[in-house]
Amino acid sequence: MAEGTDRTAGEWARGSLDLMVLSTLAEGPQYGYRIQEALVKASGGAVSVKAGTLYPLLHRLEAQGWVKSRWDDSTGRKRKWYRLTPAGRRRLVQQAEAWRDYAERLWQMLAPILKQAPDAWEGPP
Amino acid sequence: MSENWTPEEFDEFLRTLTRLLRLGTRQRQAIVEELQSHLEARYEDLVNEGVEPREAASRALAEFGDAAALAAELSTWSHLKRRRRLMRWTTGTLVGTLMLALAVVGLWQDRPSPWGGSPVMAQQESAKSPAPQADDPDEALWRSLEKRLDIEMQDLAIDDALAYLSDVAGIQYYYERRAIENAGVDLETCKVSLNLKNIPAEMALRLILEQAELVYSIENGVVIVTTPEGLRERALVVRVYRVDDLVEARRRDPPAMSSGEEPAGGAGAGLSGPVAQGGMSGGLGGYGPGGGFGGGMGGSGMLGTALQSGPPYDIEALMNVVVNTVAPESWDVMDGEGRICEFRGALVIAQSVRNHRQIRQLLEELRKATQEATAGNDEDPFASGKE
Repeated sequence: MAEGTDRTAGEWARGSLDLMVLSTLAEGPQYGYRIQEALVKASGGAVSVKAGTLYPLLHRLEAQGWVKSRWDDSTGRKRKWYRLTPAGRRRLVQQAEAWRDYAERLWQMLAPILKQAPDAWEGPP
Repeated sequence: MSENWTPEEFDEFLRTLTRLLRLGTRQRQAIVEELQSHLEARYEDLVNEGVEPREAASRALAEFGDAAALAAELSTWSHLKRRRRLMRWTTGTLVGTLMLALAVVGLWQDRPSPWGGSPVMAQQESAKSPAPQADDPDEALWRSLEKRLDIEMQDLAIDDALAYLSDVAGIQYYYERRAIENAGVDLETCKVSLNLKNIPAEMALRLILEQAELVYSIENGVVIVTTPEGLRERALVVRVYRVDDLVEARRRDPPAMSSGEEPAGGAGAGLSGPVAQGGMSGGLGGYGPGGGFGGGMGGSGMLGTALQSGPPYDIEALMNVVVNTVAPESWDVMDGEGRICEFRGALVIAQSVRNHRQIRQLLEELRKATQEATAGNDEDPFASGKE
């Protein structure tokens, strides 16, 4: 059960990873390692993005103009910090709205199913 | 933490990555530095959690997956980033050029479009003095599309795949979003893969688009990405070809009948060979660079509706040649979309851009044949069955 849920969450995450990464930058600039941590934390461990996925994604977001990066060593270590561009922020808000609408519609479909008696699902008639 | 604490495996991985990144030194270095900093942070955290160092190192590395795949993807995005920067840089120049071009066009625009209705634009193409190749944006684009490339992409969104291709091949493209959205294709989620070496950029473009059931056309040096439906809608472009010189060359012929019902005997006799179909493949998006105008110049055939009014004989013969040799099935007489008519010694043709290209090549060939003949002897230049 738990594994199945994880895999489903993974599938959902693939479709929304851009959005999740952008949202980790909503509060301010971050570097790759912290973005990765933030994703795990925010999803309660359901989403773990491998470094091999995260960096190409960050570079793509930068190429698309949603984020911008800058090297900085003021924290004592030289790191590449990413921040949202104004266009990236607009996109984040836009996509967040789209997700809300989608989730609401989906939930309207699913809510009645959860209300039904669990027995109804125990097997084929 | 000392400078050289990094496990050897990290060095090994980063060296491999450096080698595989198809980028300039500075870009490579920046990427490697970023990943190294991640590896180190991860390693430290794991060790602090009590994981044995060797185990911590291999776990940190495992999270990066395959170096080759990573390098390929990171290279793609860096190319794209550079392209964005270049675009920003050239925007100012472009705007200036565009305004100048508009001003010039404004001065020249003394004739209204002969086609009031559907076609998107009208261009005048002076056949008398063909523009130098370098000035023709379509020709420049075709040269870029003939460039050979190694393409390596795995499950890349089509949007990204095209951005990459446009970067490495140096082509401009434009999405016809309305048509694409109507067809239900999402450019960001629709994934494509392509792994081929040494193929022309045009083929890569075609194969990438095919995977999303998209096609392209070319207008003014820009690749227009659209759907087959969208292509049908926007396909027609009107161009005016001045052909007085070709028509002049034929004035010596005796005037023949002026209606298009019968094959024009005098002209048809001189033109040898079958209708050239072999060199041209028809399908949407499925044509190769260089255009395929080969074979003889088909002489006979009827033009039907376009010629009802009976234009002068030799321009009619020329129209016959065009219709029978350039994508014969694309004309209205064959239930196609293309239309051709004559106006005071000029051909007015509504056709797709690719067919316009072949038409221009054909006219150039004819012009060359005419010039050769007049320079040599007085014989009919076409009697020898030139190809």
